Amino acid sequence: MFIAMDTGAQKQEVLDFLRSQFIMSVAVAEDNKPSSSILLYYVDDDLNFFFATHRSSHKAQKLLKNPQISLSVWEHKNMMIQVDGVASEITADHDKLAIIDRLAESAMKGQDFWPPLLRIGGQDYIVFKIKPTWIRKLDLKRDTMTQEETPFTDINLG
Amino acid sequence: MDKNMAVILFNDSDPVFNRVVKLKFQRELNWDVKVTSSYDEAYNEFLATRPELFMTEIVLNDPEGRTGFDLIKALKDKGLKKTVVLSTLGQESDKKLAKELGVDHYFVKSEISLLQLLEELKLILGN
Repeated sequence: MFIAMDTGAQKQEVLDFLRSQFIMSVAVAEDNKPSSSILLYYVDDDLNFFFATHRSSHKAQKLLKNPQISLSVWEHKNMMIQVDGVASEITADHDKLAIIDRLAESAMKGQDFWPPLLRIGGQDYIVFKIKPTWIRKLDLKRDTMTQEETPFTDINLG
Repeated sequence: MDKNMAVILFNDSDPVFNRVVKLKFQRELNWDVKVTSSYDEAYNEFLATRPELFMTEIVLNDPEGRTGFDLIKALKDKGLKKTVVLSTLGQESDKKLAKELGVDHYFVKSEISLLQLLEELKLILGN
């Protein structure tokens, strides 16, 4: 059974969920070899994701060569959001610092969370924006053993 | 002003580090935190703010090759009260120099957690 939702309501539900979380799992690829990592993120009103990492990191170097990226955010008994997108570097210093401000705010969502980025060392940060090309929601609220209607909802990005 | 709202001036050039520290201090202990990212900026902000506690890294990239110790020396006759070093450096010679300059406490970033630091700072500020 196909469940239709108002596009605006869909997007807001996804945004509200993403703003309740602060860690995403990402996958990047180089030469057809995937590589995954976990990152602190910030998401804007248009469902663009932002993160910071060290320029010398594996993920940064791979993204600079191949900007295709996939990510997911989930919470048990709530939902999972899957995103495919294209990453681009934020180069303007003012914009970078504004994003870092938002990332610091995201870090406050975890009671005793201290960004692992800060333990890795180095201050040559690179900030990426991920523009989504596809987003899908998986509803995890049901506790039945199976489900007749699909628990997936593609999110309209238009 | 809330009497519990201690004013802290925190000086560190790492933009992620200083922003996270600022928000953690503000939200977990209700402290008013000013953040700077260079020795000159810290000097000027100190004179403008007169914080109860001044915290600084001592190895920022400085165009004139100065260290945090030079800044502390410069602030000593400007009303510097409680001073804490929070640094990546942890050699005994650095700690000794800090002590000679009257620094109240010297913390090494790789040897302390945020929670431990907050507890130490509460004691230093008498909260």
